[in-house]
Amino acid sequence: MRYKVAVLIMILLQPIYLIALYCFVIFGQAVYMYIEYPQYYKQKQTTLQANSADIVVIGNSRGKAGFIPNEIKGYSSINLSVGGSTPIIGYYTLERYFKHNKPPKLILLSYSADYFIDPAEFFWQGGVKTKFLDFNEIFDILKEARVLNDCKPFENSGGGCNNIDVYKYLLDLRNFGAELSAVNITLRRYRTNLAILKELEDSRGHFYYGRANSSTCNFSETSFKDFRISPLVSLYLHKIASLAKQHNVKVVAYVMPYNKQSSLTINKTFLQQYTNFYETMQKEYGILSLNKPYSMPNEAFGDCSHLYSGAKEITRDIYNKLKERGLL
Amino acid sequence: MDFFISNVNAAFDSDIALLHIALPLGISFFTITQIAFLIDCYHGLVKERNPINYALFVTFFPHLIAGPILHHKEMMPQFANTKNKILNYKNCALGLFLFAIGLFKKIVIADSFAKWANAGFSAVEGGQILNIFESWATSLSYTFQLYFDFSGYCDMAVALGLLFNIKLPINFNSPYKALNITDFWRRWHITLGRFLKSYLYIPLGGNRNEAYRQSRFYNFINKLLTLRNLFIVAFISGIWHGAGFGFVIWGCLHGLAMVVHRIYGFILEARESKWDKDSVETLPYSDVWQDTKSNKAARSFRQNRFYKILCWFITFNFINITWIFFRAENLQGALNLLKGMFGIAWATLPDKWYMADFMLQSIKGDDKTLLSLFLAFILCLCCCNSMQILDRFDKRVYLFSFCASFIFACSIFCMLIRNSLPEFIYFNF
Repeated sequence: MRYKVAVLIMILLQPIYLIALYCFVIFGQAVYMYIEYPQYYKQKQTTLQANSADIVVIGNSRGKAGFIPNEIKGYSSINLSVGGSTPIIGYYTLERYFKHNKPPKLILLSYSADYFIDPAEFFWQGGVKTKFLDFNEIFDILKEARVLNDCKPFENSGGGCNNIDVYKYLLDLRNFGAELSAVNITLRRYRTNLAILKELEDSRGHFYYGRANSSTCNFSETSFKDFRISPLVSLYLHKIASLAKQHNVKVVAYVMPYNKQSSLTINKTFLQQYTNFYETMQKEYGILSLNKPYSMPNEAFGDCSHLYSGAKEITRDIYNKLKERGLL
Repeated sequence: MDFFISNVNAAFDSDIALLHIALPLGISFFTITQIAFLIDCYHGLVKERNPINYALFVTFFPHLIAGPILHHKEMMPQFANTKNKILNYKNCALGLFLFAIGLFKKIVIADSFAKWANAGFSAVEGGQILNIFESWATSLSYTFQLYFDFSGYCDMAVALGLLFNIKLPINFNSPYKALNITDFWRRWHITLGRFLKSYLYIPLGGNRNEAYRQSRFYNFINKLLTLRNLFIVAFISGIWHGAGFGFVIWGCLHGLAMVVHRIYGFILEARESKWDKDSVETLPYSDVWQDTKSNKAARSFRQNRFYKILCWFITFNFINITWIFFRAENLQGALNLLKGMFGIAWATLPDKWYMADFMLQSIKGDDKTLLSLFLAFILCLCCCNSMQILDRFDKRVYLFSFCASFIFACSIFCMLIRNSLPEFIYFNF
C-alpha cells in the first residue's frame, strides 16, 4: 500500500509543482528579472498615481540616463523613460498618465535611432514580459502592425504578430530562461531590483546605467548604414502628437548625444538621414525638435551609450533650450 | 574506418575518399551484448535460447543507446519469468525514484557543467590558451559533466527497467571516490569492465598465464604478461569509445596507469612477503618483534588517512587530466588546455568570490561555476550514490517520494527554461 502511495505522490505532485512554477514566473518577477524590470514596474505604478508634473519625459534608456528631473528648478518634472522602449510604449505611458493625472505643460521625447527603426527589438522583453502592457494594448499594437504589414520585426524578436502568439510567448518558459537560470540563492537580483526601485523613487525616474568615468566603445547605431523609421513607430509618433494635442500639451524631441569614439565610426549616410528625420519632425508629426544628433566627449559617458557625468549638463541644456523657445 | 583512411592519407600523402558511414545509435552497446552471447553460445554456456526473449534482450530499450552493457545470463531468465509480467508497485516506486535522480543528474547537474566545459573546450580547440582558473574549471566541469551525464543515463535506464520489473546491472559505484586506477575501473562503467574482463582479459591469460607454467621464470613471465593484458584491456576500452587519437591516448594513459599501479602492487606484495618470511625464519626473536612492528607500520601507513587522501588526489587528478584527451576534438586543444592548467597564463584573483565571472570570462563562467564545482565535489565524495540511496528507500518511503517528486520537478523546470538540451555524451559511442 505504501508503495502505491509513493507512486501517487511522485506522479500527482508534478502538476502542483508546475502550477507553482508558473506562479513564480508570473508573480515573482522581482526575484529574477533583469534591471529593466523595476523600471517598467515603477513607471507603470507612477503613471497610475496622481502626479502633477510640468515636464513629462518619455524615451528609452538614453533618455532615462540623460534627463535628471531633480536638476530642473522651478518646474516639477518626471522621467517616465524606460530602457529598450519605443514610442509605442511611450504612447501607452502617456495614455495612462493622462487618465490619472492632470496634463503637463510639456512632453519631452528622447529615443535613440535603433528604437525608431525596429519597434520590436525590446517589445517582448520589455512590454510583454514585464506585464507593462495590458493584453488589450498588446493586441492593439499587433493589430496595427498587421494592418501596416510591419510584422517581421515582431516575428524576428521571438514572438509573432497574432494574438495567440502573445499567449504562446508567455507560456513558453524558454523566453524567461536567461533570467530564471540567473536566479541566485542569495536573492542578489531581488535586492538589486529593490535598490533600483528606491533609486527611481528618489530621482523621480532618473537612472544611471553605466557608471564608469569614461567610455571608449561604440554605441549601437554605429553598425547602421541607413535610417528608415518603421511604419508602426511612425504611426505611434502621430498618435502621441494627436494625444498631446487633445490635452493641449506641447511635444518636443531631444536627441541624446553619442560619445566622441562613436562619432569617428558612425556611417555618414545614416547620420545624414537621422539628422533629416529630426529636421522634418515638426512638419511630419508636429513635434518640435530641440536639437540634432551630436557628440560629447567620452568622459561624459558611463558606458558605450549612456550619459553619466555629462547628464547634468544635458539636463541644463534641455532646460535652457525650452526656456529660449518659450516653451516653459 | 574514416579514422583509418584519414591516417593512411596523412601518412602516405594519398587522397582516398572518406566513407562517411552513418553508424546506428548505440552500435557499440548492442554489438557488445551480442558478442558476449555468441561467445557463450560457442562455449555452450547459453541455456535460454528463446528467440523472442533474445530479441527482447537485444532491443530492450532502456539500455539500448548508452548502456549499461547487459549480459544474457542475467537478463534472459528475467524476461522468461512470468512473475515479472505483473505490475509491482514496489518496483514502480523504486523506478520512479531512481528515474528522478537520474534525470536530475543529467538535466540539472551535467547540463550545467556542459555549458562551461563546452565553452572552455571550444576556446582551446580554437587555439586560445585559457588562464589557470578557466583551464581547471573547464577540465573539472567536463569531469563532472561526464560522470553525472553517464551515470544519470544509467540510473534512468535501471529505473525504466524496474518499471518493467527488470533489474538491470548497476554501472557506477562512486568512481571519483576511487583511491587507485584499478579501483576506479571497478567503479566506473562497471558493465564494460566486466565485459572486457570476461571476454578479453581472461582469454588473454588474465593474471594466470598457464601456458608458461612449466617455465623456470614463470612468476616473472606471468607478471609481465599480466601487465601486457592489463594494458591491452585499457587500450581496447579506449578504442571502443571511438576512432580518434584522443581515445587512443586516453586508453594508453589508462593502460600505463594500470601497469604502474600493478607494479606498485607487486613491489608491496614482494616486500610484505619478504618481511613475513624473514621475520619468521631468519631473524632472532627480538628482531622478529622489531620487524613485525615495521611491517605493521608500513601496513598501517597504507590505512592512514593522509595516505588515502594522497592516493585519492593522485587518482582523481590523473582521471581529470586524461578526460581532457577523451573530450578534446583535436590534440592541440588538449595540449592548450593542459598548458593553461599548469600555469602558462596566470590570472588576477578578484576581490570578492562572486566576482568570479571576471576570471572565468572565456568559459562563460560566473560565481555559480565555483559553487557548482564545490557542490559536485561534495556530492561525489561525501554523499551516497544513487544505488545506496535506493537501498534506503524502504526505510523512508514517503520522505524519499517527496524528495524525488521535487527533484523531478526541478529537472522539468530546467528542461522548460533551456533553449537547447545537450544530448547524452555516451550517445556518441
